[in-house]
Amino acid sequence: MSRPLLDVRGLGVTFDRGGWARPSFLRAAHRVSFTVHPGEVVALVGESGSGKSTIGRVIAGLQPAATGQVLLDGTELPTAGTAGLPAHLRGRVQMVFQDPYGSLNPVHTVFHHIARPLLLHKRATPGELRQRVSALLEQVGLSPAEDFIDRKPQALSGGQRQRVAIARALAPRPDLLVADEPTASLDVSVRMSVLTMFRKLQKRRQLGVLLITHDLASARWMADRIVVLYAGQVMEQGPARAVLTTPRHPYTQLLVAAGSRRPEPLPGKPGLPPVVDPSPGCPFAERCPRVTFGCIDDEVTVHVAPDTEPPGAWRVRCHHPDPHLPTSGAQ
Amino acid sequence: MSACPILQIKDLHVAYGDTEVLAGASLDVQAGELVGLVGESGSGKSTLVQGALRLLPFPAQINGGEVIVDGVDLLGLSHAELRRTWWDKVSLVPQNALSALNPMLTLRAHFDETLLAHGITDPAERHKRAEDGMRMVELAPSRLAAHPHMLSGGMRQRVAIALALVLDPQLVVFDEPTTALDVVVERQILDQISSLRKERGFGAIFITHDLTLLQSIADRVAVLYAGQIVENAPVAELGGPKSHPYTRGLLAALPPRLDEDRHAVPIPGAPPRVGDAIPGCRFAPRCVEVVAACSERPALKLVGPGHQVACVHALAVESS
Repeated sequence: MSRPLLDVRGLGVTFDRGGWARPSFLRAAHRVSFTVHPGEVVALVGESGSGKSTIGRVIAGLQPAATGQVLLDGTELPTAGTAGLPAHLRGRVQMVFQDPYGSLNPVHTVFHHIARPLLLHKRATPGELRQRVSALLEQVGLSPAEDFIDRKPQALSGGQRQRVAIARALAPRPDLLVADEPTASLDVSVRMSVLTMFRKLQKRRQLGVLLITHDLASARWMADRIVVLYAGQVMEQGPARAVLTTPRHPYTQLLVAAGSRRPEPLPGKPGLPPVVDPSPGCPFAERCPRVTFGCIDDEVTVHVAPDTEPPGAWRVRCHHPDPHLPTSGAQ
Repeated sequence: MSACPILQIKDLHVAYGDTEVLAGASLDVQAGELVGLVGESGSGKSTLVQGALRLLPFPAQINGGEVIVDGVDLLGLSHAELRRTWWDKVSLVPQNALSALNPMLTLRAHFDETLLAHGITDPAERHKRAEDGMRMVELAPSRLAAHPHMLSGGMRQRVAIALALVLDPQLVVFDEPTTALDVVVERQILDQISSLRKERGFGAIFITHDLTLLQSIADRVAVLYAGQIVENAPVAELGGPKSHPYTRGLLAALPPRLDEDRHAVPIPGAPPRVGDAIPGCRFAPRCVEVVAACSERPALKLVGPGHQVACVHALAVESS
């Protein structure tokens, strides 16, 4: 396989919760490893509090990490200490935020929003600016562009705003797009058209996308691969359709059962992800129907499904995966 | 279907100033029935029930219609009479339980306040009903001493449900009770609502923008589009050949569920904004089946038993 576009290795993020005699911390991400290859859509799924947005923000340089490495095309991104990417890398990783009502500046026109990254990253000269902005608007389905280019965000619907936000993210011609719940705040009837447009553009530009979502249905529809997070740890990762059809980790099985609307009782107990001062064992142990004593005390090993192509593409972090899988040396 | 509905909304008109947001909506709920109300943001679904329950603040005004609960028109009641009706006959479970609960009060104080306002003066009785309420939603009665911020989102929503049921109303309105929750918690809350309904037999209106959710819990579904009910159907008929083009489009536009295998087809365009004047059928600008006759606004027609559709293509049947 080719070199990954994004290679996240053992990423850890903690937040200090204060305390003098007994300092306390919140572990938002722990030993998170996954890759995104050029032209691939990888979905990062999990419930609220799973750490999916935090991981996306570290990759986009908006949040420092405590441990681990993030490599973009083999170059290590600075993730420790002060957050922020150096100028020459900034244009290569772009982000689309959840709420287009908050991510666009109400006093600026559509033109301003898209022209700025074009100029900053020297993707257009002032003379050709308007024509380039128009071309981008047409690409995201805001056609004819002249009807939209001089409007301000409040004159646009939610779907149109999110299209502007996508055009802005595409303007510096990034290699990797981090999309944090890009359709969660949109109307149901326009969600699919935004996703369809996004998928088309992604394919045409061979863009790597990290799609952060809690919606398994859109993850299955959009993604090539899926990474399932719980309490900041990767529980299972593998080919999206296969993982969501025959999940092997008990947590993924619970998520799929809850989303399928079948009437059977759920395979797992209610609970919150243990992210504050976590114990060394499996974070899902106290909700898991397959829990044993070892789950609570022992750090979990990663199992690799033997029957996937390429080898090692499907990984499950569980003491008792279903069905039993050989143990992998890697974490 | 029984002859006497517990709630009858007849031709309700609601406007914000000069902008009409609900252009004459009618909806019945039979005893023990769960009616789903589905629509996108701005379609008027919250306006419909909050207007019917007289919960809309100024500048919303009700410009006509009737809302009959227990033989009484809610729209004609004084504020004191309304206070006696709320919680006792109809109650509301809001979308965001955190903002519906008072952060300064313990859960016990919430129960106390409601029960006291409805004339339950014996503290021991209130204590017992509050504890029963907590047990009903599978929360430990010891949590009554907690403040709302000490609970998770799912637990808060359970408390809101317990409060809504504490006076045993005939009708409970659930206004997107699970939208802010994760899938697993959502499923637990829905299971809870189903088992409580079996146990206590209250009628319910369940507002959501998620049509597939209603397919698993509702008996009947009313579909709102741009301030109008465009379809009112038994849940099994939704998306069928007699269904409204918008309902069918909405079902086709959702990403396939995990246990489904189909392609998603987006609906072109976007829903009109509140106040946009659209002559004729409001869905016509986005409809793939649009014809010349769509320039006139279609009324709801009966197309099958208990099934009404507002579309020129709908074939009316004789009411039986």
